[in-house]
Amino acid sequence: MTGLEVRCDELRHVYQIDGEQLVALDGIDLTIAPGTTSAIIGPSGSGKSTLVNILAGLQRPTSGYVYIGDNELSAMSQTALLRIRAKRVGIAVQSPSRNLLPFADPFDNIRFAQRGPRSFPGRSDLPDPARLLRDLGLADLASVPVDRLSGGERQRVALAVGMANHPGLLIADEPTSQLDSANRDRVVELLRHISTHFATTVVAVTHDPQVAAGLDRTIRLHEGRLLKDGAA
Amino acid sequence: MGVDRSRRRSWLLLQGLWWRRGFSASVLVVGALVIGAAVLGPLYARAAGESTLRDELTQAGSATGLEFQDMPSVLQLTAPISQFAQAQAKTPTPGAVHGYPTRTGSIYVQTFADARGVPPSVRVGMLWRDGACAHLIIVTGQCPSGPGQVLVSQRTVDNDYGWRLGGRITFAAGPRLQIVGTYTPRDPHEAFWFGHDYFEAFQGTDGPDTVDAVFVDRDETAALQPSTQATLLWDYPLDQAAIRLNDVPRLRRDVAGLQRRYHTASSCGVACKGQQVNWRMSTDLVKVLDAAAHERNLVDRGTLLVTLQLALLAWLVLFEVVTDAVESRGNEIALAKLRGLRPWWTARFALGEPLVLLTIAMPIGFGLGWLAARLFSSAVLAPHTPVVVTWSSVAALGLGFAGAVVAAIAASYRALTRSVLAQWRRTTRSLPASRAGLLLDVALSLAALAGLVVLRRGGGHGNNATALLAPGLLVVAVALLGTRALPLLTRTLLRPTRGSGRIGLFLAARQVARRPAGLRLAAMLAVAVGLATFGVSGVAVAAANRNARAHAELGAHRVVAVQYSRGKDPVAAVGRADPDGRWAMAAATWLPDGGDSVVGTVLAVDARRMARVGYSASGGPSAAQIAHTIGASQVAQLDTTATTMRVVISASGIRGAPPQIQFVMRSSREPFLMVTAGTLRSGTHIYTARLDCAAGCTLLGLAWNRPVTFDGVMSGRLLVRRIEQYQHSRWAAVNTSLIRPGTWRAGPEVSESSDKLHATPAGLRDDYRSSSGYSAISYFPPQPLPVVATPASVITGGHAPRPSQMIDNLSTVATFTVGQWARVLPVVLDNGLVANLVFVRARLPAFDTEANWTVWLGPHAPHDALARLRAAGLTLQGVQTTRSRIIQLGRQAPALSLFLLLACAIIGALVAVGGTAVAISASARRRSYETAALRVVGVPRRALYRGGVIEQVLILGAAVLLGIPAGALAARLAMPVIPEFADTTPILLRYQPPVPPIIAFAAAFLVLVCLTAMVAAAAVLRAAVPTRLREAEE
Repeated sequence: MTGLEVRCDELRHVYQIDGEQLVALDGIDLTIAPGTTSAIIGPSGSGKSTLVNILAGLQRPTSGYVYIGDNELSAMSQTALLRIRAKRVGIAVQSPSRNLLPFADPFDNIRFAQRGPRSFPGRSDLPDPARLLRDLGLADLASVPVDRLSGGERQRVALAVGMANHPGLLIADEPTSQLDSANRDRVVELLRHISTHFATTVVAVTHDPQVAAGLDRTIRLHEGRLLKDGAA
Repeated sequence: MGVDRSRRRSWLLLQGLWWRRGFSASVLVVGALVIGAAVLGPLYARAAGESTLRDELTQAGSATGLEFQDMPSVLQLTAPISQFAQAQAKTPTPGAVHGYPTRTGSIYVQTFADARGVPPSVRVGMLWRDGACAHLIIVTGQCPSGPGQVLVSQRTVDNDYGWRLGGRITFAAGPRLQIVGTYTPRDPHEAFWFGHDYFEAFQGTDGPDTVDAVFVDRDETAALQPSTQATLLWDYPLDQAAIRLNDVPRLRRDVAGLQRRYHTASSCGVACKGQQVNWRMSTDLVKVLDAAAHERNLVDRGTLLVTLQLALLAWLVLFEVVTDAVESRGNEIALAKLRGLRPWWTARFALGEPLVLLTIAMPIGFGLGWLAARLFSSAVLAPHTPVVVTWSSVAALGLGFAGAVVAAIAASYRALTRSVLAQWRRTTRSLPASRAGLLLDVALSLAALAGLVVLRRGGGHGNNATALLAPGLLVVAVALLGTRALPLLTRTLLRPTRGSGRIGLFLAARQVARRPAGLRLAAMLAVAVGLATFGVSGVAVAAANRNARAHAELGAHRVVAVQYSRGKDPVAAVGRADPDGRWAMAAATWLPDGGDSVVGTVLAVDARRMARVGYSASGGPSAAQIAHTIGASQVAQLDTTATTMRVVISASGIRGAPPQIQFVMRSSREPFLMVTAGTLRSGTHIYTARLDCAAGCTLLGLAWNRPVTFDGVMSGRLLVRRIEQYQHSRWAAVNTSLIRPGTWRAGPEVSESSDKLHATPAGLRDDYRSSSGYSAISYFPPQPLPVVATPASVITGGHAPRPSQMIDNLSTVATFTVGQWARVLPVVLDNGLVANLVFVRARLPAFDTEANWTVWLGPHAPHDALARLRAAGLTLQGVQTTRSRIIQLGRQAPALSLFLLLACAIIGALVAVGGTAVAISASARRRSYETAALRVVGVPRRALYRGGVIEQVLILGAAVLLGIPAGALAARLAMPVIPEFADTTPILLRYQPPVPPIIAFAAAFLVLVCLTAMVAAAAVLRAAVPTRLREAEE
């Protein structure tokens, strides 16, 4: 699958907390070109996670539109959102334990992730797990149980599992948190490799400017607004 | 490819199960227990049904057999042997009727025989019964081996009918037979004798005495006179050990068929030409099977209600455990949704593990249920009761599995329907949901209490098996309301502990105040503890009542049936075996022959031994009180071995015929003996009588008997100056207290004579007058006899005779007075009276032969007590013990249900503790983050540990503290409406829950709870390492 364009029009999200409104995203207009790597950066509470959740179809915006390729997510049914996640979007979230089955090895984790596209009717063009791991330089970890991997290895495996359905868009939420600089660099390298090798659009949320510097584009958020959008 | 994928999927599932093996094991164990509980019900009910059936059949004895009787009319018995063979051919072949593999044939002829050389003097049954000699003890000689021989009972020989070994007896039925042996029945109540009254010997009222049956060879019947009426009998004993519940429908069908067939044959009668039979078939089998069916119905209902409660409790625990297990997989389920798995695929993934575990649990649960049923069977059911797998147990297995699956689905529902983000955030229950939960708990509690009230009001008294739900309802109400109140109570601890430095207590109070999940488990635990407490109390109450009932029904620790025969006086024999009266007592039960006063049974006991040997009946007077009341006598029994006695009498004013002066005595051979000492003459004279008292006699009184030729009025005045006996070659006065007022009484009271007695310094003066019969003065026993009676046994008021009287079959009257009324008495229960054995037999000459004699043995009887009784000359015939009766009562349906309730409740309590431990373990990881944070900010480890222990003790201890009083209260309220026996008993049942077993149970459970609390606190603390804080919250 080739990379998917990501577009947000007038995207707004408001949380209701104890009767009070908290604006998480306030009129985001954003377009991410297919096959590029982008970093969404901003302080805590800036709306990064909300934006990523909406892009992943885990949350619906209060108003506005979100397009992943030709699919507008805000009006989609739950099943359609599941199908998008199953077939077109790969996700690697912040905590490794939320990305991986801790008792299984990377190979089986990829197989498990491929159940999503398989659960929908129609043919799915899914990569062979062993080959995927080899392509991503993780072949030597294929049969090591996840709970025996280091933090950096888990993060890289999580990205590989995110690619299990050969997505057009890979969303990575804080992929380098809790990693040392060497591991961080390897993860950034992997993100770039995914983009170039699979032509996948990569969107990574990060606090780390070094990570952002390693990607094609940096998108800055502050209090729910897009501050600056430009090349790194 | 597909196979590989499927294998990979299975492998992944197994890896997951192993990864969380603690939870997997918990789900497996609790799942197995749910299924086991479901299966246990029908398995146990079936086994209990088998047990009660076997007990009913055993207790019914020969009543379950088939008896075919052919009574050829007079003149038809021309050739009894061939006729026997012909008739036998018309009876079912042994084994042809299911359950009846053997047949015993008999020819019985009721006839008369000569005795003391005078024909015909005694009524006797002449019997041939196939194989009888194997069931008799041959005392002397041998069994008849051919015609011309007869075997007679040793008792008949002892009773001076002139029969002796080698002698000849002439029977009215024809033959003259030689006595070749004497026998004693091994046990007259043995099933072999089929309840026939072959061994009854008593004095005739107006005719000859009846003696035990005599045994002859079958060929002997050929010599009977043609006019003899014989009864041809075929007894088919039921092979009780081979009968199972499955056989019952066939048995009923077969017996109904036989009854139809033989009823037709019987009704045919004389009208059927050439038919030589007049058939009668009888059996009580149907009644016995009906009683067994009633018991089985009770067992089924009780078992269903009990196991439903256990299964529900185990189901709730399973729900909680699976909920914890599923929650621990929350991230994995969220991951499945994140990867886009469709709902059905996600559900399959989420439920795969619990369903695999439950599938594995199914055979394990079935095995556990079977094992438990087997254990219960060997512990409380009739020996060798099989535990049979039936369709209902297989259906229960399916239901149990389905219930477990429903629990797993219900427990997974929340995790499956929550969004990925909600799962990651672990959102808690909303406020409206909590309020709904509170309302639900209150509604459930009120419904439970209402149900309890309805059961108590409508349940009647101990006859409603549905009442087994009552304890469950009560403890549910208490547990729900109590655990709802617990957070409110612990909140009050927050303020005083907040700044007090007792941080452990503060943390514990805060945790309990905010932890609804733990409280739900506490409620379940409280229910389980409450049920277990009820079980402990209920079983103890029921055991005490069984004990009381057995004591009341038997009267003593052991009761030995003995055969009475003249010369083998049970009272004297017991006196020889136990001279100090510490452990044995002779007793007899007797049904008076009319008298219009007594409608119940008379129990005669030896008042001198009753207090030491006998038991009282619950709700009635104590054994000592009974002994005191019936033993009241102003005079001592006067026993003598003198061969001559004399009385000095001054007489005046003799009108009518002068009466004969007679000593009224009783000896071991003659219960009522009047020995003439001469004819009364005016003036002072000595009247001497020769007595046959070398073996001992008791002086009962003196009589002024009329000459046989005189039927007018006799009257006069007597002064009995003294009574003397000749012993050791001299005359010696006997102390009969002639000068003490009240010692002697006029008698007989029911007669046409009157005696006006006055004790004077010179002697006893009697102004006698008699228009019929004799006039007498009684020394012993007291008249009227003092008795303790139940209201139902004595007719009073209206046309009832005054004074109250009982009459033997010689028409001798004994008057009595009720010294104490009792609600219930030993042996006779609510329909009878207890009298002094020595008095009754002294008063009623026929009592000895009419009564059923027993010897009661107290709990301290020596181990060779039976041997001592035999050595004292008694013929023992069967022993009943309170222990065996208690066991018998313990195997009745209600007792079996109660026992199951106890066992299930204890299992339930242990399951609930286990479930709580699982929940604590599940929460340990979640709690470790905040505990680690507390450690980092400097809260000492010891304080945290203490806080953890206090928290668990508060929750678990509250469950115990709620459950135990609730269970005890349930026992107090519910036991009166819960059946304890399959039948009714008039004894007073007591319902106070015994304190020691409850305290023992509470202590054991509190120890278990404290250990669980300590282990749980240690687990939380162990997981709370500071490095935990580096991990993101999960």
